[in-house]
Amino acid sequence: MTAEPLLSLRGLTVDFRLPQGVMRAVDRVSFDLAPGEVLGIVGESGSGKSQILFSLMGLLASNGTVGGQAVFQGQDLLSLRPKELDRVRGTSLSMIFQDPMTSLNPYMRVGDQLAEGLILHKGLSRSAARAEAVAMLDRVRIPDAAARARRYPHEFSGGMRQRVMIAMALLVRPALLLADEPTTALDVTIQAQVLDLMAELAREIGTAIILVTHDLGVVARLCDRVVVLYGGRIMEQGPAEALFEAPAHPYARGLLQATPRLDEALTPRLGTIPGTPRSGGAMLPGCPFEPRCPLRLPVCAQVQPALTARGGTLAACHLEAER
Amino acid sequence: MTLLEARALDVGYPVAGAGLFSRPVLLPIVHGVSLALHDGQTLGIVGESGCGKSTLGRALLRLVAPTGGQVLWQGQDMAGFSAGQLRRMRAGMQIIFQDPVAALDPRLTLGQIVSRPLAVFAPELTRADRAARAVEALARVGLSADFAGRYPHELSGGQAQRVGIARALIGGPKLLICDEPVSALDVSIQAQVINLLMDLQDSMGLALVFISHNLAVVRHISHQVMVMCLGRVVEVAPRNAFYARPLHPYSRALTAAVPEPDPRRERGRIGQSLPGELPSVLNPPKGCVFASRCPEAQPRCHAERPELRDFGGRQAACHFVGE
Repeated sequence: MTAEPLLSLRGLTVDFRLPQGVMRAVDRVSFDLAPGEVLGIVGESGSGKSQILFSLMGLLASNGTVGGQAVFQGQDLLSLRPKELDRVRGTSLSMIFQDPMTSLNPYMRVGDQLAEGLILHKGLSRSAARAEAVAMLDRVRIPDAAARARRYPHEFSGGMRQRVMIAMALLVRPALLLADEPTTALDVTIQAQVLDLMAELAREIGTAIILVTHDLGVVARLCDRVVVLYGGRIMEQGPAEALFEAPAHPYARGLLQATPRLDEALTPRLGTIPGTPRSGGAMLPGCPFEPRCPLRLPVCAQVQPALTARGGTLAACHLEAER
Repeated sequence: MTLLEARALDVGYPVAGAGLFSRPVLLPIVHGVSLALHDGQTLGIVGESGCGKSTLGRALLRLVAPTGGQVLWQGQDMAGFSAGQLRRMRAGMQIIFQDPVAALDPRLTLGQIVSRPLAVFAPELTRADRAARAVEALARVGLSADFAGRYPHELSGGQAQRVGIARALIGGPKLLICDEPVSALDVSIQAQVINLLMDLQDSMGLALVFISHNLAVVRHISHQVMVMCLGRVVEVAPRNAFYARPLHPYSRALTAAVPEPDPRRERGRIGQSLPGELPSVLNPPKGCVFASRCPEAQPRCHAERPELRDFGGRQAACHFVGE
């Protein structure tokens, strides 16, 4: 990457203290994100994909600890004091969640919730902030924005609430938007609208996005680059085109083959990955996917493979390296 | 043979009236749905939230009583069934649910859960017979005999759904109603469960009603596809004909909105989403249910509701199909 990265993760690790011991949710994850780039993190439940976002926002549960570095615009997010992190979160780092209803304050008018951030972080007057909030609601295509701004969240449909969340997140024109399964709760035609809106606004404002999802189709629509996560580790990463066309890691291949799609001939059976996704537990000495991998070698249970270049992507797999 | 038939089925729920003391009013959810399902066939029912697909599934089992029309089980109208006949009918017709863990009683062992229906369907069996049948049913869904002594909290989501299927199979059903059975599961597990349902259909001659919002999953498993919108059927067609060329503009909008894991193709679909939202069930339109969002809508569509019409082996409810 030629330009200075906007965000640079180095060895990001998230541990949770549980009664049965320490559970590693994210294990030494490193990647760079360029300004304006859209990165997708895909994985199944327990892969640690959401915990990466939570750790960046300082939103980990109280039994969680974080290690490594996350340098964002020149400062390490993980070592900031709460006050400093607050300022970053209010001005250049925003997040949207899967369930917009639980992220909006049910007692506060939507317009006031949007204006709050501008008053606190940008020092705008109440009336100026309200005007900007209404303009932003209009921008995310909330019909009749001025009247809608005076309504409460329960008066909005699910798709409109997510658009309100996007409006709120982008109001401060952040350099980076973290999106945790933003369209998972939405119907497919509404999902298409929200993805369109995210793509359009990100381009317009120049915001970079990290999109966490389990849906490979959503990643394909929105993302420039993809990180495939399993058991807290990166299995494969690379440009979206290269990764979807020629996935090098057996897990990435398995995920793609297990996804039924409309644009290909029907097969009598879907491809499957045996076993169930790994969730938590002690750290394995080898590859976390080894117990489910159809192509595993003896070495896979003992030594963790490093990310190495294959074709157009980077993959962490002993098998491909031997070829 | 026609196993299950619905004729002009209406289903509604009582909701609170406008005033504090006014009598409950009937909110219609499903309007005039007719369908016929044959032995060993799969009918896929797709639609977005609030389209009535789950309510229809429950009414087919008579878990909710229809407010109009008929449901015929093997040619007999269920409305006239005695309690005993309903019980016998339900041994032949079972349901599995979206949330597989919530569908299992946490205080019972899996053996008890799976064999429970036998207390109703085959009360003459001894305890040992029932336990043996439970182990058989578990084996059929790919779970070993030692699962019979375990409890639901020990299961992953995919395993819990297998237990739900085993319980549904134990009475020797001819028909399984599957209400979003894989929506809560990870992609790799979803593929396992779909393959299992298709294998069971082959080996036991099961008919399936497969209710889902996921068009790609429905394509994979169905022989016949039915699209619902705001409680009405807008299109019914054989699977291949439907996906090759959906006739109703709503069907086309749905299939076009599904993101595929193909970045080159998806890039071109950004900005193509259909604006607007579906009308509320509380305030249904007078004309076509899709008219407010339909890119091809004419004045007639807002004024007059289109009936389902035949188009050579398939049906669609649109004034302008075939013109």
